[in-house]
Amino acid sequence: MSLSAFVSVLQEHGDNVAHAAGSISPTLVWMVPLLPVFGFVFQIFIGQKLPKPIVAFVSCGVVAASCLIAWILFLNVRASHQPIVADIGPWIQIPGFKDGWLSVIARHKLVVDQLTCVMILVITNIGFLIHVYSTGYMADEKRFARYFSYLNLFTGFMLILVMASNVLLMFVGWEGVGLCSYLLIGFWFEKKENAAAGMKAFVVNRVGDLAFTIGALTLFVFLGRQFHVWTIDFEEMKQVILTHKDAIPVGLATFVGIMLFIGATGKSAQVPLYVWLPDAMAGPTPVSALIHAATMVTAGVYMIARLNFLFTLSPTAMAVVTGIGALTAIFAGSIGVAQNDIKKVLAYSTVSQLGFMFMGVGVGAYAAGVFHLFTHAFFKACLFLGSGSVIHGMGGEQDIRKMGGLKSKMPITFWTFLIASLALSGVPPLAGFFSKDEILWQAWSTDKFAGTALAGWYGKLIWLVGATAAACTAFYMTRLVIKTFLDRPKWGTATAFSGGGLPDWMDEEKKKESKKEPPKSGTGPDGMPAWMEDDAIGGDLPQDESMLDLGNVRKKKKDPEPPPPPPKPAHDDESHPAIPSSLLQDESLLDLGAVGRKPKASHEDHGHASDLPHDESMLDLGKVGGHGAPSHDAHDAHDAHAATPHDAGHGHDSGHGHGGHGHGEPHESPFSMWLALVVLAAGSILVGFLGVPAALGGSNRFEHWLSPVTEAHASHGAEHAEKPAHGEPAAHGSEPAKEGHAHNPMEYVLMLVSIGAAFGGIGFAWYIYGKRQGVPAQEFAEKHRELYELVHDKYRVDELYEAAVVTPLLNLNEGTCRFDNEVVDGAVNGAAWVGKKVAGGTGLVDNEVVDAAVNGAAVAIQIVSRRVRRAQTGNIKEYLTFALVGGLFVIALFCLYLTREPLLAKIRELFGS
Amino acid sequence: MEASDIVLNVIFYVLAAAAIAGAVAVAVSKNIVRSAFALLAVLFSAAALYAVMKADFIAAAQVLIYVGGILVLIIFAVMLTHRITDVKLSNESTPGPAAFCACLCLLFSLVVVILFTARWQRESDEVVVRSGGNEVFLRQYQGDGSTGLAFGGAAFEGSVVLGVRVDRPNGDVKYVTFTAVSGKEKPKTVVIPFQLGVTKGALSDLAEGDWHWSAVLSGADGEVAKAESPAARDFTVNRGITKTVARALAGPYLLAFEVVSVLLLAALVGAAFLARKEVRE
Amino acid sequence: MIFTRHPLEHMLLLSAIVFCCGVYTILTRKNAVSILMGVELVLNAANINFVAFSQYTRIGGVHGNVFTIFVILLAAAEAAVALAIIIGMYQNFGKVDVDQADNMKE
Repeated sequence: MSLSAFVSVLQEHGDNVAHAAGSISPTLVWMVPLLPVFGFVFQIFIGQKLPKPIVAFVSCGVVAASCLIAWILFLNVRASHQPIVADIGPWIQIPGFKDGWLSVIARHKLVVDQLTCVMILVITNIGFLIHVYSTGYMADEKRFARYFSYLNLFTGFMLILVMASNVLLMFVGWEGVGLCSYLLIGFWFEKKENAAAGMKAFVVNRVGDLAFTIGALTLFVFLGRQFHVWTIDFEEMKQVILTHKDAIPVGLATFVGIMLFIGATGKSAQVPLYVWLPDAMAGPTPVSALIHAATMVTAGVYMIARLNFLFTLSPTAMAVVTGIGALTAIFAGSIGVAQNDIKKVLAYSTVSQLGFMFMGVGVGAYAAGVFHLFTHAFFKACLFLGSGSVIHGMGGEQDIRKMGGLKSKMPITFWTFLIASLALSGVPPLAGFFSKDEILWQAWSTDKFAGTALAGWYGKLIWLVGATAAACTAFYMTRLVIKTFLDRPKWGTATAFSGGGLPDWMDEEKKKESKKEPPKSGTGPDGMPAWMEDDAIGGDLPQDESMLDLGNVRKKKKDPEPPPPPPKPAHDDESHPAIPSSLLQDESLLDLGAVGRKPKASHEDHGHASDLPHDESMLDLGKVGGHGAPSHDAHDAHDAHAATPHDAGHGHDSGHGHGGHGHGEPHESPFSMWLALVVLAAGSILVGFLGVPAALGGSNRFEHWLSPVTEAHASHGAEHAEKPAHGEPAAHGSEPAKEGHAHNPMEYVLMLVSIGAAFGGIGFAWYIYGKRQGVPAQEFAEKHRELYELVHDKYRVDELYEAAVVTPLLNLNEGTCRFDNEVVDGAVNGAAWVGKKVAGGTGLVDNEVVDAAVNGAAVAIQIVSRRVRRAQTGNIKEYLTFALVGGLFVIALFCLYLTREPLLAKIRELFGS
Repeated sequence: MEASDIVLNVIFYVLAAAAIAGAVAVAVSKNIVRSAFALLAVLFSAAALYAVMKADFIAAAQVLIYVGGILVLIIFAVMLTHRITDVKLSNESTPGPAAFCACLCLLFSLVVVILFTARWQRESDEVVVRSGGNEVFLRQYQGDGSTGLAFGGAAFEGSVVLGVRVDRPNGDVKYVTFTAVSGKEKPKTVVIPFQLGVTKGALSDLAEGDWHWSAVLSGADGEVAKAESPAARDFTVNRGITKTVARALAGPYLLAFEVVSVLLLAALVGAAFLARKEVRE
Repeated sequence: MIFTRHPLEHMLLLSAIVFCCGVYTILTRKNAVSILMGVELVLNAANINFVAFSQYTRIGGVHGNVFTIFVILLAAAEAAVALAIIIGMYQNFGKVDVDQADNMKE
């Protein structure tokens, strides 16, 4: 139906239309999430038959329209300081109930308040940029329309999530983004690992969703039973809770808070439910950028910010939130140090930064957490898109040990990547510094735990962990930049890798790779890159990925030299440069994988520099040489291709659409791609200034903007016209010493510590990887091999889950299945067997006894009649004779009868009665 | 025994012998023509026996119909159903023991019944008449004096025996005088000395017709009692049965007679049809 | 005399003997005409019986004689039909042997 008709339909059905002061019609507000959904429907039904430009135009167009409306809404809210309410009617309303849970009323209501404004701006703007980026990135993708349909659907659901006015509608969005995440992660589902990664994301999310549901329902029931307010609307809940703040038991608030937070850990990838995010890198890079950096993973933070009035009631829950956040930050940061896939590093970085956000909201600094969410969206999206650009330019290569020297080849990518990574590291005056520093300061100075056992020291501990994680972040980001762009290029014309053998303990893929075939080049029948069509490609790779290269070391200890792989070109048509084998043997190697070690002629995959290990840590670009060990290490293969479900799917990026490119060397990405990079990098620089704290002379506009939401008032938030807090000092903040005039000197100290941590990390990484070309790291890894292995294996969390959760569940499944088969089916079959036996018995009786009787009677009659029949001779004389005899007999009887008395008397006389 | 009785007996035995011999010959003879002619002898003997029993009409009917019709028919059939050459041994019999024994048993039982069990004699009915203060019982017998003659019944061949029984006569009774009166004839009388029990007196040569009789008991003192048989037609004397049979046929047996004549017609038509010569192709 | 009893009994005995001879003829003879002759014997014996009873004991009048008349008449009819059947039998079977007319044999 046409748009206008749809609009009029909506207007017909709107009973309770609430207009904000700016007279925004609810239809317009509903357009924001519904336009992308319309785009989804369009793409699904029509778009698949349309040419790609039209598909791209429609998809980007709907998001652009939503973006435009979002800006309008933002301006409106900014002008009126009132949230915009768009209510088009009741959703759940059961008549006839005045009390009890059936009296709940849920409405089709979207609320755009200040927090929502932030979120929708982020979603629509960054989403739009990523849509545009995708048109370039996925240009060769066969399922173009479907990709964009999923992307649009995701956008729609995310918008619903952040604009929802009640728990149920938010949950619709919550689940919807989970669905879209699954669809998009497993977009190239032909490879089993990608599908498995998608499933993993969905299932892990589900675990969190269960806890979320429990928490939400508990709150709902409690509020209803206690205060007879049966509602799931956020505003009503806020009013009830704030009014009866003291009547709510802390235990309940703690329970609900922790349950909701567990849901957030699932969605936002915190410990222990973070395991899906690294595997989600199997999806296309724009997906990673949008969903797993900017938007979906922030839903958890948004949810806690939205329900801040609940969390403030329970210091315990907040302690849990912030503790888990801090733990996640340092945990993921430490893993990120030892990863070799560019996207994996960014994934763990995302997890770590999400931990920061939770740290922020956990200590009550909701605005700080959301601000970090805001800034993180920019630079993380920029980093991901940049990595996509790198992968695109490298023709699918994702292993940073095979990169290097891209600065001159991809300058735009390099500079935007550098800016974003500096922002992420927290270098002032880029955006990340302000947001991260705000969180750290709030953690240090929080008073939320006053009165509990955590008072005083907990915040400091959180600060310490956060600072350490920030240093880690700076470290691994610098490492990433160096290895990717600044190092000596490790790609080039293919030469054989004749380096030393990978130590066996790092060489798990050697055995797995033994069966691999050479990747096909070109595009396969599905439009997918040829190498993706071969399922054999990509075995397990993970173990090698994050190995600090200890090749030589190990080799000395254990291994004899493996035979050098024969020198062969890496590809048929894609002659990716490979490290010359001569180089490989000399340098101290940092990366050890099965890279190039196996003399298998089969394994090839474009974009893999064959053997890397020995060269990787080379920073001197002069030693560029190609090597094309034909035996492309399984390591490379694994890096580039999705291998095990644990590290599922990430090589696809490298394969997408590049089948047709003639790769001679890494090249810059097209305009559609670097445009987004530039915009996002600019954002990374500029948006930080929205949240400059007062200590530095800024007005912290961001926090003021969010204060109507983050401040817990008992009054109606809509009426509470919060003045634009530019410079308004008395925003009843929870930071006493922040606003105003007396700034805690500690703040400056901590600020300096943060800067120092950032620069320290950068400098340290520069020293190790730049100056010393990774030798210290390699030596460290050799010395502490178990530690290295542990970190490289991501602390073996996936294996733990596999053993502790997955395997018992599968065993249970097996057991119940067997029970069903043997016991239940046995009983049924047994009953059938008994029935058959009984039937056989009755049949036997029927046959033998009954039939025997019947037949016996017939036989008896036959026997008798055979004798009797002989009386019929046809001889009349005989008949007459017997008639006479019979007649005589009758006469005799008659005579006897007639003379019976005398006869009887005679008999009596004879026998002497 | 009178001579007529002896002659009658002899005739009877001869005829009986002839009948029996003929019957046995029919049963046994191997030549069918001989058995046919033995049958002839039997039929004639039967007719003679009818005559002996003074059933003259039946004797005549027997001869006419049986001998003249049926036997001729049989002989025709014999002739028609045998080839001449076969006639000699044309009447085989298959005497089985069953048949022979059965017949013997039959004969034996009949004989026993006839001789030892049946009472053919029937005592006469008594009619009581009061006269002179006496109860007088009147009886009448057939000519043999022992077979009762029913009142209104027919006397056998003009002789009848009348009987009187008085148990306690009033006076002295010496003689009984039986007087039989018929309409046209003169009365016949017989005087019998009285005896206790039944006093019987025979009258013979009575003419045909209905007779009424009475008995007078008299003694020294004269007539003691006089008893009249109840009504006229006490007994009827018939010489020959033709009239009787004719009256019966035209009377009670009229319907039967007519039916039999129709039956005869139907039988003859059916016989003619049954014996028709089939047209053979 | 051997039999001094009532002459009725003489007749009855005679008729009994003739009757048995007739029955024997019926039961043993093969020739259909012979069987018919046996039937005539039986009928005649019965006639003698009837007449004897009618003549020697006037019990109920002359019904015995009348019956005899009827029997004679019916015997004539029956003989005619029987002989017609025998003629037919001769025509169909070629002989009048009742032993061979056993189409009704089981």
